[in-house]
Formats: sequence, structure tokens, C-alpha cells
Amino acid sequence: MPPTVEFYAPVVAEQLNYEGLFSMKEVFRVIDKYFRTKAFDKKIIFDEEYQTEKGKYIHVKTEYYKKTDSYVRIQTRLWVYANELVEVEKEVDGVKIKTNHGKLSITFDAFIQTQYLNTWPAEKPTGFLFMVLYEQYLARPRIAYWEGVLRHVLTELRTELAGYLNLNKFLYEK
Amino acid sequence: MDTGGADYSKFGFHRIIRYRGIFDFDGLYKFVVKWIKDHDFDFYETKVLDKPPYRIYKMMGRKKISFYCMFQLLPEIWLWDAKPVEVIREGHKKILTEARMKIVINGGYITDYDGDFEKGGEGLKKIESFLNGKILYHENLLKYFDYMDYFLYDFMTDIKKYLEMETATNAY
Repeated sequence: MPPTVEFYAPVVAEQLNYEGLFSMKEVFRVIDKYFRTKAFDKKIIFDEEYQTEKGKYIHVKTEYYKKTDSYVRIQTRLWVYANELVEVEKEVDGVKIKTNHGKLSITFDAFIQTQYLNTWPAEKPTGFLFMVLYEQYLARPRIAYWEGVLRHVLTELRTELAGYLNLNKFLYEK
Repeated sequence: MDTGGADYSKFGFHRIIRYRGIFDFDGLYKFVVKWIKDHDFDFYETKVLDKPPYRIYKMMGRKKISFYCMFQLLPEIWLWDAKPVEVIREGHKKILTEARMKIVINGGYITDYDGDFEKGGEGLKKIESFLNGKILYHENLLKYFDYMDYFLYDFMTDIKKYLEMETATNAY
């Protein structure tokens, strides 16, 4: 029997949508670099790229995770979709650069997985009882802390992406 | 000793690239072989299957890193509905391939590749699991597992760069 693990999901299916000019490579670089600086490990679940009549279609699902200690593991999931992606050439400060134009959609998920090593043998009633007591009373603040961390991580990532895509320009206009 | 047919996907050594469009298949094949050989792996072409509408190429790269541990790379290229197309690139006529493609990159590390512990019966098997689980546990995890994981990301990114895919970046 596989170990019973508990899931806490502080972020569920949050979205970021954008249509216009952006560099697909840069978007992936921003995401990858952000998680690397936060010491997450990476797992690519799948990676698709199709050439269609209107442009490229890209669908990438990645998971970034971190084992904080021997009891709590935090994980994020990202679905990145790009539709009708075409390469365009733009002139910036007199220099011609190649970038992309298309529709981008990113879905974010985050959850906490506790007792991934099956510390309390949860297939036994006593183990399950101890697990519930431990997580409800003793480890409650610790789990709540990591929920906060995950929420913060994804909000920060969204801000980084929004910064790159220039989505907040009207927020700070005088 | 573990064998080549082992499933490493549960350890995360499993990557899939899906691609549809026009590409240089011969070039891609040569690129994959060269990449494996350039990284000091012994290259084997384990299976080629041409069964319309699909074609499968299975390869294997092996590299002994110590007397006890060996890396194994198991890339596969799957093609569907592959047909040659004539394209003019940089003024030259070229024959490329139009297809749907799936590249599976599996890999892993094998301990006790000579099978010395396997030959000696139950006692030696227990010693082997003690060695792997306790004494060499961190060495396996840090020196081989992490190294292999990031090594495969490099391989994946290089293939994506060859195919000029938009997602060909890797910060790890």
C-alpha cells in the first residue's frame, strides 16, 4: 500500500493571460531562473510544440518542487500555453530584434505534501490518528507557514512575469 | 544488477518532447548520436522499427563512472506520418521531413553493473542493499542522481535548440 500523504492546496488554478508581443524564450527563462534562485528542483512533465497554419502552438507542463524538511514537501505546477505564436521583427532603439507575437496563458497551482516519507504509518489506525493529531495541533503553524511561502512564491512569480510582459504599466502611471 | 529495461520515470528521469512540423530528421539523428558520443558514452542503436504509419528509433548510451556505478541514457525517437518534403533554404534545395514526432529521454544510473553482488546469494544481496541504502546513500543521491537529472535537462535543451523550439532555455 502506498504511503498516505496529506495535501494542502493554497493556490488553485490561478491564471495569467496575455496577448501581444513577447519572447517565448524569455518567458521560460524568467520562470526557470526565478525557481532556481528559490532553490526549487524542476520536473518537465511534457513539452509540446506544433506548427499550425496560424502559427506555433506550445503547451508545456512543469513542476517545481522543494523538500523543505523530512516532513513537508512543497510543489508548484505550471501549465504554459501559447497559441498563434509567430516570429516578428521589431526595431528597438534603432536595433532590429526578433521576438514573438501571440496569445499566452499560464495556469498556476501550488500544494503542500506532508509526510512524504510515511513518518506515521498511516495505513494503520494508530498511525493515522497520530498523523491527524500532529498535523492538526502540533505542526499546524509550520504547515500554515509553508502555505504562506507557497502563496508568496507564486505571487512573486506572477509579478515577475507581469513585469516582463509590462502588464502593470497603468497601475503606476501618474 | 539492474537492466536496461528498468523504468526510471518514477525517479523523474523521464522527459518527453512533442513536435510537429518540418525538420531535418537525418540531422537530428546524427546530432543525438554525436551528443551521446561526445559526452563519452558508448552508443548502441538498440531497436529500429519501421511500421507505417510510425517509425521508432531506440538508442542507448552507457558510461561507467566508477567500478560500481554506471550511467545509462535511453533516448527514443517516435515518428508518425513521416513524409519527405522539398524545401528551399538559403538558396539551396533540401529534402526535409514533415512529421509528428515524440522524443522520449529516459535515463538512470545502475549500481553494481557487473552483478558481483547478485551472484553471491542472499547474504551478498543484503550487503548490497545495506551499501546502497546506508553507506553510499548520499553519494548515490548527490553524486549520481542530481548529476544525471541536470545532465538530462542539458540533453533535452540541446535537442530543443537543434529543432529551434521556442522553449529551448534551461536555467538549471
